[in-house]
Parts: sequence; structure tokens; C-alpha cells
Amino acid sequence: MIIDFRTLDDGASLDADLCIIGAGAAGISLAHEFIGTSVSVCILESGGMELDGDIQALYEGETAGMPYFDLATCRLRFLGGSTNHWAGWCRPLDETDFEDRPWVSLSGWPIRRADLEAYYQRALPIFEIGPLDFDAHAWEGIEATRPAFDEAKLRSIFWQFSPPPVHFGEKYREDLEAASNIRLVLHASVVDIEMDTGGGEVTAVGVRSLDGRNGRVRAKAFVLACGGIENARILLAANSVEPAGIGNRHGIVGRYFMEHPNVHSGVIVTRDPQPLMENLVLHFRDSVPFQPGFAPSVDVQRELGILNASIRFAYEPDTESGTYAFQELWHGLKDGRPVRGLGEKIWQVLSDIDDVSRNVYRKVVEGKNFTTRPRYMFVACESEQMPNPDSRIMLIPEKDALGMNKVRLDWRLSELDRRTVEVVTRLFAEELGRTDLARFRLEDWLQKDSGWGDDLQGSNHHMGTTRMADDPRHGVVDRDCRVHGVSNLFVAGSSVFPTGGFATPTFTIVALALRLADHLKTRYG
Amino acid sequence: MIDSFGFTRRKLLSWGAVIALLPGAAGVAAGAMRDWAPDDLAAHMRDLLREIFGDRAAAKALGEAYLRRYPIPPDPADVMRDLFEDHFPRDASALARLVSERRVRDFGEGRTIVLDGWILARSEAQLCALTVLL
Repeated sequence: MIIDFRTLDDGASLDADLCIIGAGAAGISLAHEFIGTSVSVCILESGGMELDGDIQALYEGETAGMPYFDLATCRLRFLGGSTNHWAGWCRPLDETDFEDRPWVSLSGWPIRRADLEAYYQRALPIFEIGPLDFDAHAWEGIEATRPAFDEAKLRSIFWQFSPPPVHFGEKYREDLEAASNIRLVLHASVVDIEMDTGGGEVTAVGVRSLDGRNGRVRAKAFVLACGGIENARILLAANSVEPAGIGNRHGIVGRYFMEHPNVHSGVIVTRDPQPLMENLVLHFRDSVPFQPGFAPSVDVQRELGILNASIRFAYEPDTESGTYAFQELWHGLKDGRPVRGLGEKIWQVLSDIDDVSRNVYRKVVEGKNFTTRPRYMFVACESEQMPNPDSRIMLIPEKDALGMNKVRLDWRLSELDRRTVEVVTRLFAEELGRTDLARFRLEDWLQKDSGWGDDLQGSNHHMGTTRMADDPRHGVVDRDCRVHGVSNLFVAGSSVFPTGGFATPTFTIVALALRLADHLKTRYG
Repeated sequence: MIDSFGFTRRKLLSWGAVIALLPGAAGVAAGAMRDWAPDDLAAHMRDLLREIFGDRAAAKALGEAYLRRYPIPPDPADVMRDLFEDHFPRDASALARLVSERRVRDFGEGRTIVLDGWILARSEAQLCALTVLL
């Protein structure tokens, strides 16, 4: 059932066994697991079915530290959450990401990759990808040749793409609507968490809509699933019983904010771009796109004392090439749509006929894809960030339209974060040189001793702000994602990641949500 | 045309010279350096370098960048000894082969040098330096 909170009476009270706050990847995957069970579930979604500027403005906040995206646009606040604008990149965390690495401060999850393996398997069909094959072995399933890189230094990795990116709201809306034990309440923003007097149990959450309506939801258990920034914000703002906010007796909520620093670290020059263009780009395996890349081996990470990181080949196509024009003409003809600048395109094909002929031959005779000549080739590096208590989310005095304190995001990077990018880039450059595939030029900023380039950005991955640890002094939630010291409050999403690896987080967010569902079924089912 | 990274076509074409200047062909003929008189050795090496470097200006530019690291320019004989050990090339293809072997070894063992941002094998940089020293 889907309910619009604005149609309920002011002061309405709803009851459920399980209250899930937030209907993004984590909240929806979790709720979906309860369809058809005896557990009554109430999902509270702040937004509606579509993007709404006034609702989205509730995400406004300040940024400090490293340059960061506008907080009101780097995540989405309506059914499906940020899956409404994600690109579909999927990859599990590596085994080593879960381990305690002495050279990475506060590394080590309380759980291991093996604890998530079955949930990663279960997550595959949700994203319409698979099999669970994301490393060197995946070369065997695609029509590409692995470069002769030294795997002991630079191991092969793959991302799979959810094709097209699954928008959780669109995909699961009907299932949730049809389920008799699920109530999805839209336009219901959680503005408070009510605790018993001892602060050991959540009794209800306070709900408000932009039209001024108030209400509350009581449940046996509550799950915060609002994303890496909002999860911390809601806990910090719920300070009526716990002055520093719920789960924050040790001052950790909101700290350890991590991203995946994302940079172009250099350009590639080669006599023959073909081996790179053919092998290091997107390939399909049973209709699932596989993108190859590379990462430092575990031994290299240990020996050089660096974080985990990924590096992948990319290129900017030469739009003046004959093949580029030929493809535009071909797609226009195939789709029956007019091609802009038809005469110019034809001339472009004719004046670069050698390039076009080579591609047509490859396609017809060898069954290979067209490869547009590159204008330039570069590498993109997306790396792990070291957990840093000074990289954090804080409440600021300014309030949003619902009366909630806004946040300041202070994203901080460390010397280790930068060194990791530098070392991995150099390893990649050395392997390109050793195999004589190409030579590599470092970006100007990497030729200096410190600092980052102007193109540094995050990846819209918000992690670590309610980190998982067995010891409450080092984490906000325990290994079951339960807030330390609170018997019935759980957190879902990447805010629980104690470390973030380099893998895009959505796949792990869903695997953890499925694991949490199993735990909650045992406890409340 | 300038893109978001500040690359210009001209800049990229000049960078392309880095690759064009690096030898890649195979060869076998090699002998010991001690078999050569010093003057003959230098003259012979000059000829070989002329033969293998398509873009001598780019090679020189890199060679100069490499030599700027030294307060006093190194003796070319020392550079050649370090580069070729006891296998002095008798022809251009042998030179290319030897440098190729050294390149694989240098990159594999992390003996690289950053020149104007380019990550090159030390042997490649030494070869470029010889175009300046000889």
C-alpha cells in the first residue's frame, strides 16, 4: 500500500513491527525482503514519486575542506533515492577491504567478506548483473585479451554495470504497493527520534510534511536508511534524550566521512592505440557490461603502505575521425532520424576512408566492435580514502523548512590518500612501459610533492559517518548494524562502512541490507 | 581546440613524439665495448642514434631534461657502459633490441625517471641523453 502522508490527519499515529526510514537502495531492498512475511513494515519516504524542488531543498547544506558537490544535488530525495541518478557501476568490496591493515588507521570491519558472500550472490539479480565474477577470472568470459601486466603488482579488476541502471523506485514500486504487509508513506520526513527515558530504546519517530502536518510512527524496530549524510544528520539532531545525539556518546556520529577521490592522473601516448582501445574498454557478457580496470595487489598495498585503489583506461573520441562520422550516420539511418550536418559527415567519412574501412573490415570479417580513433587517452583513478575523524558531517544552526538543522560537510583528505593515487598511477605507467603498450605522462599536480589537481572530485559516495565496529568507542553500529546502546535502532547504507575500498558502494549497500533483513527476521519475524 | 584538461592538439602531437622516438625493433648483433676505440665508439653511437630516433629534436629535449639532474654532465662512455653493460650494439636493430630488454627490466624493477612528467625507463632516458652528450 502507498499512502501520501499529507492525506492523513494532523497528529496521525501509525504502528508497525518495522519502520524503515528512507526508500532508496538500502530501504527498498530491506523492505522487499519482508513482502509476504508476518512482519508489518512501514517505509517513510521524505519525497514523493518524482523530483520536487522544495523537498530536494531539504538537502541544502554547507561544504568546507576539499571542494565538494552541492549537497542539494549530489543525492536525490524521492522514491528510489539516489538510484534515480546513479550510473549503475557495481562491484563488491575486496576481501582485504574488510581486514585490519596495520598501515591504515582504524581499518578492519567486524565482519569479513565471507560473511557477505551469500548476500552479494543474492544482490546480483536485483541489479540484473552476474555472475559474481569481478576479478582476473572475468577476462575469460569476455572477448578481450588481458594485457600482460604483472598481476602480482597490478591485479585485474572488473566492474559490472546494471544495464540500464536499476532505479529502485521504478522497479519495486508495484511490489511494495501490492504487498499487504507493507505501507510506503510518501512525503513523510523524519524530524525526530523519540527514546525511552533511559535512551536505550526508540519508541517512535516524529514525522513532518512540508505542508506542516505532523505525525509519529511507533514500531518494534527502526532502520535508518537515508544515505551517508542524512543518517548522521538525523542521529545528531535527535538530542532530546541524548544531548549529543543518538549513538553519539563517543562523539563518532558524523565523523570519518569518506568518499572515493576521483581524478584523472595522467595521459597515455602510444604508437598503436588499438590494443588499448580493444581490450581495456567496456565488453559485454550475456548482455551485462563489464568494464576492466586494475588495482594494486594486496602484497603491493602492504609493502608500499598504500590504500586500495582502482585505475582504468579511458579516452576522448576524435569527433573529426571518419569512423565517428560513420557511426553517427549509421545510427541515424538505423533509427530513422535525421543526421545533423549530413553533408559534412559524409565528407568526413570519405576523407578518412582508411579509418572507416579498417573498422568495417574488423566488424564484418573479425566480428569486432568499431573503435573510434582517440583524440587523447587518459587514466581515471578512483581510490579508497583513509578513515579520518576530522573528515565529518556537523549540524549547523541554520534550519531547513521542516525545522531540522542543516549540515556542514567538511571533506578532508590525507597525505596517504594522495600517495595512493600517485603510487597506483606510477605502477600503471610502469606496466604500460614494460609491456611497451604505451608511455605515460603524469598530470602536472602529480609531478609536485603535495596537493591535488583542479579536477579532483568525489564520486557521490557518502560513507563512514555511522561506522561499524565491535567497540562502541570506535563505531556507531555493531556488526549487526544496530546502534550501540540502543536495542532497536539499526542503520542501513554506506554510512556503516568502516572503510570504503574503491568499489562503488551500492552493491555492498544492498548486500548489507539483505543481511540486515535476515537478522531482523530472526529477531522480529 | 582546448579541452577541459587544457590539452591542445599541438601539445598532444608533440607528446606523440615521445613514443616515436623510442626504439622498438628487434636485433641481435652485439659486441664488447672494449673492442672499440673511444672515438670510433662515439662516432658509431652517433650514427646509431641518428638511425633509430625518428624525432631527434624530441629525443634531445628529453636528454637535456635528464642531464639537468646532474651538476656535471656524465661521461658518455660511463652512460654507454651503464646502458649496454658488455653488449655494445653493432647496428641499429641491435641497439633497439638491447634498449628494449633494458626497458622491460627497468620498468619491471621500478627503475624509472620522470622527465617533464613522462615516466620513462632509465635506459630510455640515458639513450636520449647520449643524443646530447655525443
